[in-house]
Amino acid sequence: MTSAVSAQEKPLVEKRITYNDSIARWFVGASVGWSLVALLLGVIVALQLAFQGANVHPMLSYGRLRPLHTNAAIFAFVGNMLFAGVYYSTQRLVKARLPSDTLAKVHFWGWQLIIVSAALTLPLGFTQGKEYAELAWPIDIAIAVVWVVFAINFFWMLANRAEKHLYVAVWFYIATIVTVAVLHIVNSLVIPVGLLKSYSLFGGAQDALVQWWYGHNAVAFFLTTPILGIMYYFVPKAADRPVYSYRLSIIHFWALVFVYIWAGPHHLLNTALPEWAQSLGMVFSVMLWAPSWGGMLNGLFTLRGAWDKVRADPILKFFAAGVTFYGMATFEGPLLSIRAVSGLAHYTDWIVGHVHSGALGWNGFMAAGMFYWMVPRLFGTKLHSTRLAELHFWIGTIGILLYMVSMWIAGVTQGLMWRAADSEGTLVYSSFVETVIAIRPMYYMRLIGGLMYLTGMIMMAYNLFVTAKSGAPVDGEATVVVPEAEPEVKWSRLIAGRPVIVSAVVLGLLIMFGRGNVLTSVAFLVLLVAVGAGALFIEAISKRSAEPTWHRLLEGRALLFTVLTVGAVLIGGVVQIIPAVLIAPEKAEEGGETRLASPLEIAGRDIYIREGCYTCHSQMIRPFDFEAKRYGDASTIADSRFDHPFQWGSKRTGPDLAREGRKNPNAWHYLHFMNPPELSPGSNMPSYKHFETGKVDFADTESSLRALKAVGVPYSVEQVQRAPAAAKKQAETIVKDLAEQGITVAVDSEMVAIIAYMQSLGLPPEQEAAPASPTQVNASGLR
Amino acid sequence: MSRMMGELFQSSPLLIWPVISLSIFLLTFLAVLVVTLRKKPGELDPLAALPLADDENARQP
Ligand code: HEC
Repeated sequence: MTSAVSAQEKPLVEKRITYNDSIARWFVGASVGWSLVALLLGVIVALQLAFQGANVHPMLSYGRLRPLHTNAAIFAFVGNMLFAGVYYSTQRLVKARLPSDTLAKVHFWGWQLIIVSAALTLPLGFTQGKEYAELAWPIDIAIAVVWVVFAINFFWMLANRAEKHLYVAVWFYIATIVTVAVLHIVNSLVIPVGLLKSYSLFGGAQDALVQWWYGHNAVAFFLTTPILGIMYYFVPKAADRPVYSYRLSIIHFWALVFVYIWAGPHHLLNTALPEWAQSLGMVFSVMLWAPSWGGMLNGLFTLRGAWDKVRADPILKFFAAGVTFYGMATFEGPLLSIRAVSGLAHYTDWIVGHVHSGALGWNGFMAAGMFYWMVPRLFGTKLHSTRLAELHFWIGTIGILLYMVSMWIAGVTQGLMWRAADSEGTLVYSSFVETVIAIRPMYYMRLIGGLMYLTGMIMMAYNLFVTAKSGAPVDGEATVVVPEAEPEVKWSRLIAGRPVIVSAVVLGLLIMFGRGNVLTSVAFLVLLVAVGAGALFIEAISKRSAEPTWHRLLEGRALLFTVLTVGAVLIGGVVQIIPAVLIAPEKAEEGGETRLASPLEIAGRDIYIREGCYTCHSQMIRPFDFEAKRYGDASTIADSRFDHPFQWGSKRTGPDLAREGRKNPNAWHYLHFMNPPELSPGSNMPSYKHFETGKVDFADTESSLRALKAVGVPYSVEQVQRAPAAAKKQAETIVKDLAEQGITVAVDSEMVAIIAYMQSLGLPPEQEAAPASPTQVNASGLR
Repeated sequence: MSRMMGELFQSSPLLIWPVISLSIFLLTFLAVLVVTLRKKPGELDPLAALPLADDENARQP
């Protein structure tokens, strides 16, 4: 397949090229290393949920480690894995060497640096408080830069290709690169308040929509599409036979890319989101089942007639199981998107189990299969031990199954307990902690599953290490037919090349799009489409000038596909959320007045975000009777209007806090934060003793309020200026109330600020956040 | 039905955007589907074989 003709009118020559495989070796090494870190963090947070005492230090408590675990798994483990797979397979599929080794190095080291800075900042409490997008704004900028570097190198490689057909895997990679860039930029729009602190541009329902549009599509385009590309390359290679149906793969690609981006709102079912957006999300999620299973069957059928090989080869076993887990996860996903099912499953551990069947089963096993296949080839040797790999497979599989089963039981149990009511309609389990205690055995079972999976990965790391040691680096080679004297890529060409310019223009337009109002946004969208169409037109013209050979037509079509993908993903994804995003503030206004948080409460909310309380607590009461009984009236869009970022949450390891204000006295909160299990025996909420010693600088509240004012929270100039004084005054009333209960805390302690925030949640606008009425508190708890 | 739609659009005029984008999606997808299904058997085989014939050096010994 190296006979493709180039479009240029230069004489053709045969040439030997040597691929840049060292970049693949590095990324594999990094991925294997980080996978152990990510999984170890997973085991630690699993232990912390089962055993509260495992929260040994403020920096290592659950709320801070959980974001680190998810970020490490997604961006460090899977990220490095997908870069390895993309670089290795694309060079071979398009018969072109990576154009710039320097850019590849920048990509590799830049990405590792980002991961290391995440590992430092998250435990220190620097976070944006939005799931899977927690990293502080300077790191976000670094991610954008590194991603663009990756994109330039990748598209440059495509421009240089000697194989004019683009294999389906490459389409998946293209969709990944383009979409992730868009998602990342839109979701990272923030107003910086300090070097590592910022408030998101969007607030409340708007922010929720953008966040879950991002979160959902991050799963789609970071954890799914690139891995599907990897599947379409490595499964045929490992099985030594072409994909079952190439036709199906084309349909799979288009259907998946289109449908996926529309399904985002299924994360916000039964919330204050507009009805039609919820229905749309549900319908598309159910539709998503078809392309997902098309892809799964295509992968599995590729192994048809090779089942004897699967029995003997751990690589094929990993691929077969990985694809099967993909099928399971994509069956469960649409199911969970049905409103009624979501009503039961949302906020519970069922969702956690669902995610892990994807992460451990699909991502983890596809990674393992790819590594076992690649590493011996990258080092010109044989796998050290097939039996050890075989053992890894079985221990990993049992680990995942334990994980999924335990989380399913835990989720369904807790979901049912939350809604259980007797014949009079009173809640059977009115104390939340009862529902925590009930599922504790499942938490231990999950821990065992996770430990088994980690053990398997350690075996893999050892096996691959010894394999690499026993060989020496080998770079793949191929003979290609290219125009004579294809010049080395120069920096000037690299920067002024068409792909770079087009991507820069598109990126710029996108930023404008994200920043604009209705009219300008639409204008920029039209412009975006125009740029895409223009690029297409130029492409078509430049093709027509040469003789239209069969190859050239196909080549044109491949590029057409590329441009169409870009357009399709952007249009579908961006347009869908615009109406809801634009209408949200209006709807919120209609919903009535919203209380403005006081400066001290804002300081408390900063602490809430820093500690990752949102990883265990939601602030979104759904419109169900049993939720109203437990937590109070259903949340409205107006309630969270001024929350930048929104704090709706996605998991209730602890109770909803949307209407926590005045439920408990200040002294109760104090004792609870000092040691939750003492007030609520069986609680797995970490202790926050450091709130007593941590200090709030009242002077900082002024810049916080100013930033919030800048993103649209209606503070008056006077309120901003007087913020420090107001904060101090409010703190003094709380200190006084606590003193009456015999508790002494400093006025500027974090304890006072967080209590002020707790007492403000869900209060109607006109009320002052005065201390709750003093009530006798004792160690056995009040409620 | 049309009255319901009318009311829906009135309450949320921006709804036209997702509707347009959905239509684009459906049309493009149908086009891809038709083009793909009209391919003759065997026409796509060279493409499907791409991953299998790419490397001359890195065969496992
Ligand atoms: C590991 C999960 C977890 C984390 C992290 C966590 N909590 Fe909790 N929280 C719980 C659980 C479980 C309960 C219910 C049992 C209890 O009262 O301790 C709870 C209860 C509460 C309550 C009592 C609510 C009520 O009305 O009964 C408040 C208030 C609270 N948490 C605030 C916070 C704050 C503030 C943070 C962050 C500083 C936080 N929680 C972090 C799990 C968590």
